[in-house]
Amino acid sequence: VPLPGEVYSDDQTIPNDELIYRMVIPSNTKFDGDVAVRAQTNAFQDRRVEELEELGVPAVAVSVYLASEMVKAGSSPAALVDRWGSRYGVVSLTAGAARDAGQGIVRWPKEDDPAHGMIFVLEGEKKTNGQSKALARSSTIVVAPPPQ
Amino acid sequence: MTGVMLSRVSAMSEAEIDPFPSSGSGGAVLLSGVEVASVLDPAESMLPADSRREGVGAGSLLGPLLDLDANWDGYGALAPSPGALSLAAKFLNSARDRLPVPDVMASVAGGVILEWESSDVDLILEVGPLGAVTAHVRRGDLAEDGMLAELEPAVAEAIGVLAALR
Repeated sequence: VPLPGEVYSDDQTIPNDELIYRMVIPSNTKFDGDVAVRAQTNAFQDRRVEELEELGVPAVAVSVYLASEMVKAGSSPAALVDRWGSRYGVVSLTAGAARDAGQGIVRWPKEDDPAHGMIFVLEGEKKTNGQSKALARSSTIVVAPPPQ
Repeated sequence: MTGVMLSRVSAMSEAEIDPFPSSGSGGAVLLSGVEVASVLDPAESMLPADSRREGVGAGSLLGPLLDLDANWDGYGALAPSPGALSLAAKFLNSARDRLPVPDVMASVAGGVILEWESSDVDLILEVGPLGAVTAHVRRGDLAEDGMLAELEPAVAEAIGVLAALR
């Protein structure tokens, strides 16, 4: 299985202050009472190796949206929720925070998703839970998912 | 609702289910420096009988995970396996009187994550779908990730710190 850091390259044209969006649901969101606080560790775990062929990607990663590309495409976090459904919310973190957690960021546009990108681990087979937790910890709520 | 969840946990743990059809790897954990318990040994993963009567224990913590179907996150995550749920329940019941209540969540690979967070220590235990247990331990600026068996001393130390916070 290819190592993510060997098949993807951290895109240095993505600045550290670029906002990155990730879709969440209540089951991977940390709540304080009914108030969504941030993503949980399981919101930033890599996909499974078994899914790679179906996904059409060469190595595991976490799918995200790049804010600057969304602006170019005339999209927004609210539009993402409209598309994904009302049980979803959106969290954001910066590219710099992802890099601080040992990750690289790559643009991976799809036909219907020009803003699609991926966060991948620079070393190792997949993100450790420590890295996933670091990503989750640096995230903030943009659109809150509904409480469980 | 809780009754329904508990009955599902109970039903899930009955003997007709082989929790780990393939081999897994658990390990012994020193809980609070009090005892060594093989609580994360897949071969001993049947839910303890007392958990079926416990209203605020493993059943209520794991209950929300029982409602998760495949693709629960919209990104293709697997539903938690019965074996992972059973083993997590066993650990939660073992730790119930010793440790603070953890955040409990499903992993994308069909396992269960138990997570404790404090200013001094972070501990994450992930029970995989086939019973393999990985750990993340942070104490201060030092963080380690690996299989539970490899990190057992650090996990035991973290559990001791967390127990003191309870």
